[in-house]
Amino acid sequence: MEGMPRLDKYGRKWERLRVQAEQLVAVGEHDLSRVLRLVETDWRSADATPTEAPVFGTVLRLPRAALVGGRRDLIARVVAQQARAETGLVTELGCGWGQNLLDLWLVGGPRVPYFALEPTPEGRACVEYLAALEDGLDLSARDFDFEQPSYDLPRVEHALAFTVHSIEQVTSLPREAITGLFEVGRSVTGVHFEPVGWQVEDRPELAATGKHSTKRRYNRNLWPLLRELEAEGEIRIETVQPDLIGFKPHNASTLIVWHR
Amino acid sequence: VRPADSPSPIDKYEGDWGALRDLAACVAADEPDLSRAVRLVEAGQRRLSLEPLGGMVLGTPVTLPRAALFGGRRELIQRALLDACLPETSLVVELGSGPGLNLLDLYLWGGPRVPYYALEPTVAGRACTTVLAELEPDLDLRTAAYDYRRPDYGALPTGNPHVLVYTVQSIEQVPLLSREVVTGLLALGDTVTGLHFEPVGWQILAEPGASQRAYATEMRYNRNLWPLLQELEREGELTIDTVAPNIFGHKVKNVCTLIVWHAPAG
Repeated sequence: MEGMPRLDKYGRKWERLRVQAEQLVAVGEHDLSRVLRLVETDWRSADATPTEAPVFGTVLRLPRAALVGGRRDLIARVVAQQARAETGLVTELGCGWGQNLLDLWLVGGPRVPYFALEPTPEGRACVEYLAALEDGLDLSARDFDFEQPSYDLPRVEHALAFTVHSIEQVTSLPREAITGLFEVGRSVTGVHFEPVGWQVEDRPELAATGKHSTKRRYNRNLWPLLRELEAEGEIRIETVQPDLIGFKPHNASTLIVWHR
Repeated sequence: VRPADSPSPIDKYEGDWGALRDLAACVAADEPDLSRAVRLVEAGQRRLSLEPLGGMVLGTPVTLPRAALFGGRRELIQRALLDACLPETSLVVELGSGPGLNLLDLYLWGGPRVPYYALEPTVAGRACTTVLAELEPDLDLRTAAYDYRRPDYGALPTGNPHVLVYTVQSIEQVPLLSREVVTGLLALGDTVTGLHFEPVGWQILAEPGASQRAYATEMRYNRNLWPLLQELEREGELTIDTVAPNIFGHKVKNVCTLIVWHAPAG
């Protein structure tokens, strides 16, 4: 993965969050929701301070707490709405410390096996530690490298795969990172919250994220790759919503949903 | 103005919360996890989608995805409540708690492990609260009947080191709030923190939004919370710590103001 030092940086963050979770459990907390929210409080400051945020391509001022909670709920609800009766597994590629997968579970996501694919051992340790707090949650963490993608997952009727600002870290996403998923399910749905609106449309409102992505060597080919796969008849892109929401005006998440 | 022969707010909410109670009962029959059950009930109550929805935030009209607007509102409320808790908090009370989702969320967000009381006029709201709270054995959440017109706090334990009491768009339903609603709370503990998330910005601002005032008048919503709190502050009963007019609303014309006070004053 280009920019490998970032993995060390993220590894240290996820390790710190796991230690915080352990400290909460040590003083008697054992409820996943309570532990996750309390750890998140430290991870994301969430008070009423006005914060600039991109929403639907426009920069708004929102209380920080509303931005944190609104973004979290939006991601979890959008992913949850893509689950079907025949969904056999959920996987997040580059799941970090696992918050998105755990929040999907907490909002009532499907009761199926969840697979947390993550390059950092610290992230995998954190998500497995948190998931173990919840009896009904079947979650396994697996090592994953976007540049050499390998999906050692059970084959199911329908697989739901998603990413949240993880593909951003991969300057040029290999085609196999997407096509490898096709073997996981007879049908597959992909959901991406990634800062790629500038790849979708060339308009001034989306330029800030493009400029930031170039500077940080963030991903530059997710949208062209998905369009290529659509042109080849491999997938059907159902939704694209440039710069839907974000923590920073220059790093807004674009939502893309595709089906195969 | 709301016609005099229209159903009373209590009757209306008996119907609304009755539907939610039935949904909660269905969900709880299959879903033993409190968080999952509450969120599934909430999804049944609100259409939590990508659809743009206009609201008002920090006094400015905004458009957010529905899921983000409702999630943001919930987070703002919960973080304000958590901020108002103290290490010595021994009781949490919501007045006019409706179906109980705010109290349940406070627990799920890591609120204090103390008794929670849902004071609610409607039978259906209390029943919905109980159905959901019973999913979590560690949660001590009790309900009691409550009438803003005849406030009675006899069901609540006294002698608390600190009590957090709050309202979320329930005082809005009371055109004229009696001072006993607030003063009756002050005997519950050595210290009391009150937090209100109510559509009263038009009572506070020197140049209030015409639509908020008109909507409150049309709906016969509360018109004296802010003057009452100011009066109590002048009398030395409490100190107002925070007032954030029109901080958040999922309706432009019914946007909530955050008010936090504590007693004794000082």
